[in-house]
Amino acid sequence: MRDFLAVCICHLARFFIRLLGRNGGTMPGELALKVSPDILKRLKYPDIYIAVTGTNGKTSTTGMIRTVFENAGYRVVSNIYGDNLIFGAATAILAATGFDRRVNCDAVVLEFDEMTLGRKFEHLFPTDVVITNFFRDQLDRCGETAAVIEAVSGALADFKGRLFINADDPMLYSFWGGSGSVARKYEIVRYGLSENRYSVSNAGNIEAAEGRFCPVCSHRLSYKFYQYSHIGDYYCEKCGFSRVAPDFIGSLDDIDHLLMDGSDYGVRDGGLYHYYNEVVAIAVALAHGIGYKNIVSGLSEYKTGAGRMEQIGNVLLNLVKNPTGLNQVLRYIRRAEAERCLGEGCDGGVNSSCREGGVSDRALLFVLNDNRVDGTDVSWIWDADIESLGIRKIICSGLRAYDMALRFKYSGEDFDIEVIEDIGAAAKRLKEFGGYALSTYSSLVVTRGHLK
Amino acid sequence: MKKIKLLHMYHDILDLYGDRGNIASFVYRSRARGIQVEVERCTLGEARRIADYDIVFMGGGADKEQSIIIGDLIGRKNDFKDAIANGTQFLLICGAYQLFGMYYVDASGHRLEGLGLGEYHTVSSASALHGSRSDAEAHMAEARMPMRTSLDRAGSNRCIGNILIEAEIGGERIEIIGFENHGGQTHGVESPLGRVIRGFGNNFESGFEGYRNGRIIGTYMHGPLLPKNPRLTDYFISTAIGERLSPLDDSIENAAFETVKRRLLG
Repeated sequence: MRDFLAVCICHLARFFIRLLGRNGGTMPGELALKVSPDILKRLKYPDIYIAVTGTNGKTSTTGMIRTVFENAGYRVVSNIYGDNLIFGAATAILAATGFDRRVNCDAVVLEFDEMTLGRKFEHLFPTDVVITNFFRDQLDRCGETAAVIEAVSGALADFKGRLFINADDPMLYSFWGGSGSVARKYEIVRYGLSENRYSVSNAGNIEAAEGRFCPVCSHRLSYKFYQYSHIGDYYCEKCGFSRVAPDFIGSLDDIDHLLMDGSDYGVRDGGLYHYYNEVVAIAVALAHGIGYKNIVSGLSEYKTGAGRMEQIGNVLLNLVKNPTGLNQVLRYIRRAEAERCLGEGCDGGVNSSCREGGVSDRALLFVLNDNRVDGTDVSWIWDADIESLGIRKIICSGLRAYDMALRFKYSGEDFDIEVIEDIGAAAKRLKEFGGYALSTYSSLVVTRGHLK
Repeated sequence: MKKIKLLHMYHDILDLYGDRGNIASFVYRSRARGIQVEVERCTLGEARRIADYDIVFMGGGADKEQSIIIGDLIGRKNDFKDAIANGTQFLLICGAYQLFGMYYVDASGHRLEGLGLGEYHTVSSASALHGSRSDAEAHMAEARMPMRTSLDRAGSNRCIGNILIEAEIGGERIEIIGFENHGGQTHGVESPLGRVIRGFGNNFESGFEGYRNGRIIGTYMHGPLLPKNPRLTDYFISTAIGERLSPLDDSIENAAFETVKRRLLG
């Protein structure tokens, strides 16, 4: 009876929210779980239930898996707006649930916040779990990265399905090695990316360093090659710990096409981390018997989620929430600005209008909020490398606009910094220049709205 | 030309909360006055004579990082003593502040002996709940901060949030603002850095923040600390060169400070 009521409430709440013209990802599920807290344990799920978690790349990876499965003819239930707490998952699942408690679809594909997966695993029934990576992320909210990993790996103690893990991330050691490894019941599938023209050498890199120490003996890790942050082909000189070769491995050709097992999956814009997301999406699809053609067309249909490499007029909008993600986006911007000026009809920035004296005429807007979902500690902006951007005009906005302005000011570089606390006015100012908007989570929808 | 020598210790290991912002503040505000700054770094196994430097900075790390550096740090104890006697200034944040004291008991109950140069000690709240801290004490602390307990997803009791304190720096009472995030509860500080106006400080109950002994400042305040607190930065610089400093345009710094202060007091 309670379950019946909960399903009704979820449907009704979704209906009213849609009447108001919103995307209600969280509230209907929250109401339903208030009425029947254990309802998710009593539903009949389809044979495929994929749960995606990790620090970065959850939304993109979930989106790609969803479109690939849909393209192959599966009916998919998914939390497509990145509402990745238990309420968002409940909203998505209950919206497809009938009064017979059956979830009417062929596959459930859900993104989960790491701690939600860690704490609420008894409410989840995945057949496949995907872990993208673990980086330093919102320390005030998640605790130190080690504690998050412990929570997730503890939750998977009795998991009997398939676990897809990033072979190139040494932080994931506790999912395949260590004291608990003998008792593990799940099958491990590793994925990774081979050395390519963007791989960098360890020396001189100053990105966030967490995870660069051997998880076995704490000695500093070495890398045969190194992709970004602590991701790469790692090994320990002292105790011999090293990366285990991936089961699914992607490589990039001269024109940045992703190759896997001799098949060409095309190009993906926006940095190495996007290729990792794509490799695991392909690996999951192949493991479920989906063929090459369906995967390729599914991937090409996949539109990057709102605020993830989203072009709006003359502005490219990106969500940023931790130093690793921010570094990746900034690396993309540097490259895009450098390549833009080497295009046809451009003299490399000597006299052309797109660059004066080697500096772009475009601007960068950074909207920094510190609401709970963003992490209330804004110190992470200091852990990213904002230097040598190739852009001089900086606009800072959001609740902590002045903190962001200080970050640029104390870089010691010649930035032209303007603080406009009101996001609407800041977005309008950015559109005069064109360029890039970076926004934290809670300001993303507002920023996006003002850019349109 | 005036010159300051600054040593950033364990820059690659104790770097949890944007500590490079503190170094950037020293550099920017010195150079803006025509003072040259030489920043040197020092990590595990690298020989340095600490007394050669005007300012030593050390940041924070998680339990694992603290255990990685502790052996190396203890090996430098006499070097620290020489530097203190020589008038070197220290800014120690979070983990560095804890390890400057007598000992630190980490989340799993493991005890690390500190440098023993500060009279205080620190016990992780996660360890305290299971160990030396009585149940009654733990309950009292939880009752005082139910919101934080339920919201903190790391599953331990930590002092988390923006913090505002009042401290005496260079003969003046000033306000200092930062962000604290520590499970460690520090007790036995005889000379704190300042009085807490909003936030926690050394532990849930004390009402005081940090440690101050002459030219040594230990604190849980990051954020990072110095960019939003230019007067504190300038105090270190002017002490190092032994001169008063010319004022700079601090409008962005002050606005960033006021944003957080308004919210804390509002």
